[in-house]
Amino acid sequence: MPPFFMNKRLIVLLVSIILLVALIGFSLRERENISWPEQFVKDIVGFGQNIASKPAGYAQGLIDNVQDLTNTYTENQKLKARLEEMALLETQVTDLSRDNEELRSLNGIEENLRDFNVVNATVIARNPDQWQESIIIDKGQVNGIKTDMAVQTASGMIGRVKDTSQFTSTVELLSARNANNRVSALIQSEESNVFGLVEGYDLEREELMVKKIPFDQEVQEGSKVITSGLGGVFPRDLVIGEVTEVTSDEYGLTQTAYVKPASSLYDLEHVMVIERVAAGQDEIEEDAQGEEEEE
Amino acid sequence: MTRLILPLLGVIIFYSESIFATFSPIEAFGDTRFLVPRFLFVFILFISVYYKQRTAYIYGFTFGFMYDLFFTGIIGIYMFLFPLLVYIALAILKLINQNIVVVGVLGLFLIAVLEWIVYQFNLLIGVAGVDFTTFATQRLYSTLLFNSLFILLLAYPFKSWMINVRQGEN
Repeated sequence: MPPFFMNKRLIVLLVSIILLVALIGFSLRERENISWPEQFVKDIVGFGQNIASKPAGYAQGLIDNVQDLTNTYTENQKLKARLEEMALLETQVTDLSRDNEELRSLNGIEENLRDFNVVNATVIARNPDQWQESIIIDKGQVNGIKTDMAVQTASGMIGRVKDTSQFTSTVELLSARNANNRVSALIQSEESNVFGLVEGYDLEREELMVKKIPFDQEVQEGSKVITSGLGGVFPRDLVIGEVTEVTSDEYGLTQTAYVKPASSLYDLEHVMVIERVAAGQDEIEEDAQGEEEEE
Repeated sequence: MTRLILPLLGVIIFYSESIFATFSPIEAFGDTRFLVPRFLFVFILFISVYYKQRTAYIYGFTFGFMYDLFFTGIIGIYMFLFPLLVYIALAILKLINQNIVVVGVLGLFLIAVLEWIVYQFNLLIGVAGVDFTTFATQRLYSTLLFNSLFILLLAYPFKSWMINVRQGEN
């Protein structure tokens, strides 16, 4: 053998590069969930992270509380103004939902795209290198969390569950650059609902983009964007955000709406994992056809 | 007892990174600035210089593996980069005078290299979508500044403590 191959360092380097490429290929491929050895390591690391994040979360909460105290007065004024509207809205909502229920039972529709179950979770870590926009929460498979469930805060949707282990889960935020990260959305216009796909995130504007809106549909700025539930993964009616600008795409065939996320995608502490109750591709398709006919 | 402190400190620093990451990004000087903590790497670098090289490689490999699995989900990047950068650091330190200022500056330089490699990799797999100028202004400078604070605060305690432990073992 020539002395070139006798060099121990070179062999170590070559072998490790081969291993590296193999491992990266293994972890980047499309898969439902991570393998059990990965889950095992994740659970062990997650256990420690859970303990470590508690005092940090407590300190953070304390600082937030003090900050909240300083704007109590202005907040109180605003809330008082909204309170009267609230009472009116509340009666309307109860009335309408009862009406809805009655009509549904009359027609024999049992499943509803809007139904969901909630699992509350606490954020225990954020990816320190901040390239993959992901957070880690303290609930896992034992709490009934599965991949692709929607995750939201009190103010709106923030992402979906990317992978789960027994006691922790990784949540991919809406701002992540991932071609598979699509949410079927619905823009509530005055006349009719406009459907589109949340696809991509504009880093400069820090806003989501809803693409593939037909050019003849009129979308007003300030309209609310919610999940449509037609993707078969998320339930309906999760708030995504508010339209800030509508532009036509480069060929003028479709429009793109910029949407300001309703919930901040940074500084997350408590989140809710949403499990969709309604299932079944056929039913979803029927529902979609029904809505198209209505329009 | 002293045998246990080193791994324990490693674990604490490992977890502290993700806690410090929750403060990031911040708005400063008219732009979003990401602060990426690289405390673990600094710690491993100091182990390699002032404690034992072998330990540093093992720590780099193990913590890199945990980092990959738990945070990024792409196994191999940090697991490979931490030992490699330690190797480069030791090779450079063989050539030049080894004092604490040199080690600190070298640490910062290697953090920049680490950030750049990770950026290039993320660009390759399509996770990162920014050009180099944006990367430099939004991430690199702020990250270097943030980590230089850590080095300034803890370089001397690390050095004296590790030398103490090594002498205690001999």
